[in-house]
Amino acid sequence: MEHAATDGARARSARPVVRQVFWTIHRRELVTRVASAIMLAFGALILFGPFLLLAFLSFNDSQILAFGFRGFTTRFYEEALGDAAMRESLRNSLVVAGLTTPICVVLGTLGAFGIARFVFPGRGLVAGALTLPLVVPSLLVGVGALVTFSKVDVPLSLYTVAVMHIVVGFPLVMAIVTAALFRFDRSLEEAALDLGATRRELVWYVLLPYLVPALAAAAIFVFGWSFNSFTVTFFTVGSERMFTVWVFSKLRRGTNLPTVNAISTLVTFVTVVVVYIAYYLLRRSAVRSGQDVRSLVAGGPQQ
Amino acid sequence: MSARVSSSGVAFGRRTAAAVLASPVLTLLVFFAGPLIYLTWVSFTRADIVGDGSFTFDNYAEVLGEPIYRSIFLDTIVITVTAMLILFLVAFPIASFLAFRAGKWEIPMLLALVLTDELNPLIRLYAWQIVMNKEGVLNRFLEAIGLIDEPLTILFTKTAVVVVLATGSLAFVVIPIYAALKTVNRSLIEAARDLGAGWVAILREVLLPLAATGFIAAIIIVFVPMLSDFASPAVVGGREGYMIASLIEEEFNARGDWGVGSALSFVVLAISAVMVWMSIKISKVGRLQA
Repeated sequence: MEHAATDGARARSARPVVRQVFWTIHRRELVTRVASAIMLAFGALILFGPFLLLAFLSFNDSQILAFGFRGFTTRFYEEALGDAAMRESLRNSLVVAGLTTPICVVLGTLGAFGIARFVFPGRGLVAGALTLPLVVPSLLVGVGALVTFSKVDVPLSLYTVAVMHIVVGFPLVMAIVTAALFRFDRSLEEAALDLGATRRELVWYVLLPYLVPALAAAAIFVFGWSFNSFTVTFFTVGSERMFTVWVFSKLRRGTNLPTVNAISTLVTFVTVVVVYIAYYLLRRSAVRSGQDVRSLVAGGPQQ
Repeated sequence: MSARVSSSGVAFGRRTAAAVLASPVLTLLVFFAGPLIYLTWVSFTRADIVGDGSFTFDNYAEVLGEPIYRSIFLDTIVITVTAMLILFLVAFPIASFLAFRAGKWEIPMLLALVLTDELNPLIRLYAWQIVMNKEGVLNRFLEAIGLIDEPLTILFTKTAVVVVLATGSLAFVVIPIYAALKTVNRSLIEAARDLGAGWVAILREVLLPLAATGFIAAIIIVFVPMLSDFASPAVVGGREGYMIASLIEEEFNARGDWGVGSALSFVVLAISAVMVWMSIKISKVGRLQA
C-alpha cells in the first residue's frame, strides 16, 4: 500500500520532469519553427499581398479608393479591354518579346557552346565580355542606345527596342545554358564519339536533347524579362506604346485607377497560369532527361 | 573547369570556335560596346544647343562639383544600401529555410519565388502606391490596431522607395543565397555543432562565409539594377525620394542635356563597380577560393 503510494507520487513528480526535458530539447526546434512560419508568412504577404489587393479593388464597384466592398462588378474589365491604347501597348510588348526570345535563345546557345566546349586563347576574356550586359546598369544600356540611335539617324521604334532587348537577353540565355553544359557528364560525349558519332551528330542527338529543359527555361526567362523590362524599353521606344511604359505613364498621373487595377490583375493572372504550366512542362522534360528541376532555377545546387 | 575542358578529347577546333562565337560577339560589339563607347564620348563633349562640341571635362566638373548632385548621390546610396541590407536580413533566413528545412515545400516555394520575379514590376509598383497611400491599406491597418491616431505620410518619402526596392527583388536575393547554401555539406554544420559551436558561431564561421558567393551574386543582380531604377522614385518617391536615375532620366528627356546625363550615367557605373568590389573585399571571397 505504502509502496503504491510512493510509486504514484514518483510518477506524478516525474511527469513535469519529462515535460521539462521535452521542452529543453524541443524549445529550440519550436522557436525555429515559429520564427520560420512568421518569416515565411511575412515574406508571402509582402510579395503577393499587393497583387491580391489590386485584384480585390478591380472587382470592387467604386471609383475611389475604398476598402469596404461596394458590390461586385466587372465593368472595369470591360473599360480596360475597350481601351485601344492599352490593347496596342500589350500587343506590342508581346510581339517584341516573341521576336526577341528565339533570337536570344539562338545567340545565347551559340555563345554557351563557344565558351563551354572550345579551348582557345582569350576564352576567359570573351566569356567575361559576353556577361557584361547583365552586369552593366541597364540605365547605361538604355541611354547609350538612345544617343547612338539618334547619332546614326535610326528613328526609335519597336525594332530598336527589340534589338536592345536581344543585347541584354542573350547573355541571360547564355548564363543558363553554360551552367547546364558544365553540369553535363562529359564522359557521355566521349562515349558518343567513341561509338562513331560525328561532332554534328553529337550535338544533335546527345547535347541538344539534354539541353531542352535548360533552353525552355531560358526562353521563358527571356520572354518574361523582355515583357517586364522597363528601363531599356523606356529609352528606346520613342513614341511607340509598350505595356510597362503605358503603366508608367498612367502612374505618374493618378493614384487609384480602376481600369489599371483590372488590366494589372488580368496580366498577373495570365503570368501565374503561364509560369505554372511552364513549370509543369519543365519538370516533366527535366525528369525525362534525368535532371533536377531545381538546378534550372538555381543554376545547379549540386548533389 | 578549364582542366576538364582541355583534357577532354571532345574539344572542337579553333575555326569552329570562331564560327560559333561570331554572331554573339558581333551583336555585343555593335549594340552594346558601340553605344557605351559613344556614350563615353558624349560625356566628354558639350552637346546641348550648339551641337557636337569639342572635348571637355565640363560635364564631369559640373556633376562632381555641384552640391545638389552630391546630395542626390548620397541619398541614392543611402536608399539603395538600406534596401539591400533589409533584403539580406529577410532573404538569408528564407534561403536557409529553403535549403535545409523546407523538405517537400522546397520546390513549391522556389516556384513561388520565381513567380514573384516574373510578375510585372510596374504593376507591383502601382500596387505599393495604393498600399502606402494616405488612405491606403497600411494606414488603415495601423489605425485599426491602434498604433497610430492619424495617417502617416509614407508615400513620397525615402522610406517608400526603400520599401518598394526591398520588396521588388527578394527572389533574386534568396535564390543565389539558396543555391550557395545548397552546396554546403550538412556534415560541416554538424561538425561545428559537435565541436560546441552555438548557432551564432555556426552562422558566422560556417554558413555566412560559404554563402558569400550567393551574396555577391545578389549584389550584382539586385543592387546594381537598383541604381538604374527611376520608375520607383518617380512613382512612390516624390521629391524626397529622388534618386540619381531620376536625375539622369530628366537630363535626357526633360532638359535634353545629354552631356551631363552621360556623365551622370558613368557616375552610376562607377558607384556600382565600387559597390561590387567592396562587397567582394568584405566577404573575402578571394581568400575562400585560394
